[in-house]
Amino acid sequence: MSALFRRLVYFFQRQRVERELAEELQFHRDMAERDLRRSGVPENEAARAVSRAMGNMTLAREDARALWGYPWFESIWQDLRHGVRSLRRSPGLVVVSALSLGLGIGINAILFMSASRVYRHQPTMARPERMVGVEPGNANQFSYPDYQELLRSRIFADALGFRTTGLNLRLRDRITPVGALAVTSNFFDVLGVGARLGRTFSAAEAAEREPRVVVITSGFWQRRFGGDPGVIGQSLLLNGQSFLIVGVLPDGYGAVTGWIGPDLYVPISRLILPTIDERGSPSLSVLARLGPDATIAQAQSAVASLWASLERAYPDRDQGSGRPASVFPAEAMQFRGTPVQFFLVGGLLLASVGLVLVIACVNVTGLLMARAAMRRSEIAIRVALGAGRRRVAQAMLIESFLLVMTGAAVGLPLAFALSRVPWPGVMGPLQGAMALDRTLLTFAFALIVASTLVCGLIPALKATHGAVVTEIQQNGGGATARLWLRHALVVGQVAMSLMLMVVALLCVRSQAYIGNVDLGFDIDHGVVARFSLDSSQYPGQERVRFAERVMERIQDLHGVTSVSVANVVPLGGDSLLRSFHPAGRTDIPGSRPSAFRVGPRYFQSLAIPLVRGRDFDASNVADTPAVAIVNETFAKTHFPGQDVIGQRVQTAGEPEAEVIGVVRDSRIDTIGEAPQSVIYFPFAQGPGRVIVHARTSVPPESMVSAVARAVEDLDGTAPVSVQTLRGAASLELSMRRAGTVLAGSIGVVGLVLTMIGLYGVMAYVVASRTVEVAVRMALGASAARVRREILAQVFGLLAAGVAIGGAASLGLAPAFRTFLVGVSGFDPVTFGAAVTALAVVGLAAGIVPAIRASRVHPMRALRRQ
Amino acid sequence: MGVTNQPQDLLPGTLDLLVLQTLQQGRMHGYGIAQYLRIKSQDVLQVGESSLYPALQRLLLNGWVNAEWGTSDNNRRARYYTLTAGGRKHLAAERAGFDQLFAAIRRVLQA
Repeated sequence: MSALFRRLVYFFQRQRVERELAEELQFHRDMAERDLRRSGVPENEAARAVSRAMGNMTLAREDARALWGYPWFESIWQDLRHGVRSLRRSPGLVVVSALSLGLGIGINAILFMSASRVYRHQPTMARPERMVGVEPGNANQFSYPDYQELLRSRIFADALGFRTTGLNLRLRDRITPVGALAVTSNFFDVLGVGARLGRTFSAAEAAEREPRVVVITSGFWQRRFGGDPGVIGQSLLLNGQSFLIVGVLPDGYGAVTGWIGPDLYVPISRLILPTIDERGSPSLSVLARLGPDATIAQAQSAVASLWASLERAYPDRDQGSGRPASVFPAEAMQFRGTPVQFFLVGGLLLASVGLVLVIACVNVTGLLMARAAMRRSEIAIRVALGAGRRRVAQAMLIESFLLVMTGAAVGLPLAFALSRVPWPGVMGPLQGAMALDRTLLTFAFALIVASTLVCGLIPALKATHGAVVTEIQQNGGGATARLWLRHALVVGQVAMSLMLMVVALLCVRSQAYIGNVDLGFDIDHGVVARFSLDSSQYPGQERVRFAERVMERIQDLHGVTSVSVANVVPLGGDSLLRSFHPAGRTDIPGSRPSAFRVGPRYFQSLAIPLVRGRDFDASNVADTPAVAIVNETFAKTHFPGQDVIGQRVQTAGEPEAEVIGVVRDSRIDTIGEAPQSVIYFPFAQGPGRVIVHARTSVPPESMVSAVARAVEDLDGTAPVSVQTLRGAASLELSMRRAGTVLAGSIGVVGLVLTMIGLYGVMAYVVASRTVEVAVRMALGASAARVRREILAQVFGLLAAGVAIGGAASLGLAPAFRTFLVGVSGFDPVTFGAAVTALAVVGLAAGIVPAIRASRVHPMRALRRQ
Repeated sequence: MGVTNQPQDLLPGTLDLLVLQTLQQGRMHGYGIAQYLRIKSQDVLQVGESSLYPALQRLLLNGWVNAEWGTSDNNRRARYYTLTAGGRKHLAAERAGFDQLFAAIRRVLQA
């Protein structure tokens, strides 16, 4: 449009155009004056007449300017400059806002980015819409032979299998566990991923029986080899075996298992998967690529019938569980089997940091409102001069925007800095999430806009609300009718802070409980070595002998006090339930105690007290009478009032056994579980998985490396994973702890922000009553009386806030039940503590202003108004 | 307090029409246009500079007139306006519209 072009030209020639317009107008005036004089009017009269008749010159110029320029844009620019000048005069406000908002924006950014990375992770695949996950009917995973059947059936164009595993990497003298994925050799081909350096697995690996090659990720390459291109051809010592590095994956490769992916990829072999030939042992997660015209529905029915035929062909191995085999889109694979709590925790954390930001905004709103009230006269004048309400509100919103930007300038760099500091424990892998990309920018922008509106809208609207002229005439004073908004702010802040505190305290108490709960065994002095033994190489008693050799080696290490073997790690998530009958009593329906196989000194190694009878010993081996040890709950449940020692019990698949001892209860599956019946059998009488437990007198972390070294060359083909007992226990523990630490910190941050905000707003609420107070004191009220009244007002506000916040927290309590252990969502101690803390903070915030108000000299206060 | 600022009693857009019509007589400066309108309308239409100059700016913005500096008859620098081709077309269109409106009002008033 040519008008647009002309405007643009105007923009660059503004000064000249205005000068010319002024000249033109002056010419017009002079001509009019001349004509008047010519017609006989005297000179000054002519001038005055012209002025009167010609209208407002300034307005003409303004209108012309408004016509040509972009008035809206110019007004914003003007307001920005004015806002900067004005804020420079209030450094206190800027600092407080920058810190509060910076904190709020910063932690929101970090958490959002981490959550976004994890939840929106897309595994790297070619044409992902054609990839599906496949599950058999009786488990989440296929056994290797069944996987091969799936391949042979040609239902899919191709299918890959993978399994997460931990390998021990030996670097010089240290052994560190690394996360790895054992994959079928077609893994990268099916996914359509090529190596950045070297190659991925090839048919050569497929042909070999025991391939010893490894593909590493780009991150691992950077960390361990510094990006050295000569890495191809070097070797890694994994589980005592030498693996040749053949390839490096591209940067930014997204693992199929989720955002936190493995460092290494190795081909599946008996070394990694000793049960490779067992049809009945599910071990591989399977992803498949649909053929060119296939649909998921077709694949689903084909797989279901394949599985049905396998069930028929191998009834004892491939038993169904009533579920049909299923086929689903590949993206769902990474979250398969993740408990819903994982998402709930994420949601809770996001909500908490969101609340912190809201509190920070409310702080700033309060401060801005106080400021606006003090600038009442200035605003009134602007309105009187013709600035519309909108214009004034715009100016205030711009000020709010400037404050938010300062906050962002503080908070975003803070977030980046925090993401560089190493994060503790289980949160560690999430660290890389903070990176500058479109998502972050969009999120930051959204936060800034939202914060600006929240902080600025209320003061802006309120400040320009009608009757402004009247306000000037009346010198402001305490228009009590309009104080409700300020009061609402205080109440709101108190309520939100109470909620945050309650959440934080509940989490802290829950964690304290977990930390102190008597697990029944000592989790802090154990090292665990888990072996994966090939059943063809180690049948039956061979395992017992192997375990003995392992124990011999570990026993001699300095710092080890006791060693034992078992087929389980308590809280490790691998307990087995059996059906059980007391011998001969078929009238009792089979109940299901957990059953474990443990060697002698197991209870000693885990510090589980033996309360009656005796432990297993060297005499309880194969071909000797079957014996068992039970726990207290078992004894109480199945043999109440009797002496359980000497009783005979029968479990499915086992010969009748005589009970020879009773041990104290200990946790088996989860921390929060109710006491359950447990029965222990001698390891030597039915060897299974070999897990060696060592009790240490020194901190177990320092022993892990020594233990790993001691066992690594026992049998090169037997992968072993060595961890502390606490580490081997389920992920649940560490995730809870991380979540609690976070929640607790957020609660504290929220409280600090509220303290700052409360003080400011309280001070203002009290100060706005100065005139009233002064008048009353002049009329004879005592200082003490005044103080009491003000404190009563403060107290009233606090009480309202506590009531609202408390009600909200109680309302949310049921949602918490899933996280809390040992503490109910309605815990009175928590609520009491939170209320007390806020009351103290609030009263402290109110006392100082109250005292100051009562000390003020009446005449001075009145004059100041 | 808007941008148009018409003298009272004129329908919106009428001032533009009058100015364009005036310029059909030839090039004129702002004061000349005001004088012409006053004289032609027999003192009824007295356009002040607060209405006239914004109108002229508007016409300039829309490309219906051109402006250039020249010398007035008393040797002062003055800005002269001329009609453009586009201005002529716009004038014709506006006139047609105005005539229609005017005839309609007349009809109503005669009833």
